[in-house]
Amino acid sequence: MAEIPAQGPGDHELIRAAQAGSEAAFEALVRRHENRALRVARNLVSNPEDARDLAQEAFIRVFKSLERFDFRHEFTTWLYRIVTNLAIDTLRKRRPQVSTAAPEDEEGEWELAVDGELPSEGLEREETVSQVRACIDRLAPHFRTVMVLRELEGLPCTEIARIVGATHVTVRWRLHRGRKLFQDEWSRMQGAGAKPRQHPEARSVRPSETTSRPEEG
Amino acid sequence: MTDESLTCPDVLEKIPLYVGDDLEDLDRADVGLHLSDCASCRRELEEARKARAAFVGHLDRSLEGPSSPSLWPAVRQGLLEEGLLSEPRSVRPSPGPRRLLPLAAAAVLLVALGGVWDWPWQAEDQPGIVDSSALPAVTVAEDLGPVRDPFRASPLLRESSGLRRVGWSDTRLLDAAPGASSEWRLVPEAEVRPALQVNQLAGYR
Ligand SMILES: [Zn+2]
Repeated sequence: MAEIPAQGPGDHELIRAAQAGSEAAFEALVRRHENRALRVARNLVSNPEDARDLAQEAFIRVFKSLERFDFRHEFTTWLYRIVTNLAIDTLRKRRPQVSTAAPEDEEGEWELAVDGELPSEGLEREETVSQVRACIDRLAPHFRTVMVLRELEGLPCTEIARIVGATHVTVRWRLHRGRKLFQDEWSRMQGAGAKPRQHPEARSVRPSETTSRPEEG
Repeated sequence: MTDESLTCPDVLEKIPLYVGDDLEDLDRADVGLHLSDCASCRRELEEARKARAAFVGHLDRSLEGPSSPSLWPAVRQGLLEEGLLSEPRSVRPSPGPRRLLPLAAAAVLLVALGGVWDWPWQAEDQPGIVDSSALPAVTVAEDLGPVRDPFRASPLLRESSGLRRVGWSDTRLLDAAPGASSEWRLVPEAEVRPALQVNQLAGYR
């Protein structure tokens, strides 16, 4: 990614200094990583003002928890985790719960945002950008998070697993499922009656045993 | 697993990961072999690629670069409102090297005193709690030249810092705020843990 290479003290040094009371060190940490936080927030919650508020709140939470920072990890892992958790909270608050979903089937509950009109019913066909946005908005938060961390930040699944607090297998499953759901939505919008010819062997979107849903920890 | 073991449904299930190069090496090779021989699956791959390109192309990378205003002022304001930072200090317009001189003097004083005093705040019964009233005051009197300042190299840090530190073995000198009086408080390193306490301690002016 196009992060500006860190100059001067490393993140861990800045954290130690901030722990010792240096506001300047904390400021340096914020300025070094704010674009990263904003970028992820913006791509998760869409609304720029919300994203900015979210990123600010993330750094305030970082400050509050500075003493508990685990120096075995990178600061960015922690920051991504705080940003994505806040984003998921924001996204979930925004949409009504699906009351029919079985409580234990969290993945099912959040696969697609089912509230509101279908995007194809409310959008102009030529607005591809809006269509894509609508497809992304219909992705459940935990799919969207994994996809943004993978496609935007270019993080490996192992790192994403640390960020979202899930196993590597779960992350890969979410990536698989998220891409598939997005593609289905996008194809549906693109096609709207002229859906591309499906592979004769194509199944429903349920993943096979090779990409079966892992147990959520 | 060999390529012969992969059926079209197997491959279709792997395409969402294959399309982003997220399969394990062995899987990727098997899928690649199947695709080289199966036009139907290649069409599905093409659809997956188009969808992924739409997703990736939509991602907003506009924040890369220095254009957007920093979050720091708002973050700082938030921390102030929550009482997590000390109030803004009056900052002199042109903080120069002279700012560091009193620190040098204090550091030296600290060395002089360190071996003699039995520091009262090292009590074990209140770990991490610093009673600032118990701290000795050190009067800075002399210009003793430059001292080590870990943040000196960074303009960013220097620019906004209302707090300077001088490292000295197991002690630290806190609060070198511009405009502060010539009185400095010394705190043992081991006691300087929670940022909040340090800020309260250092925020006396
Ligand atoms: Zn095939």
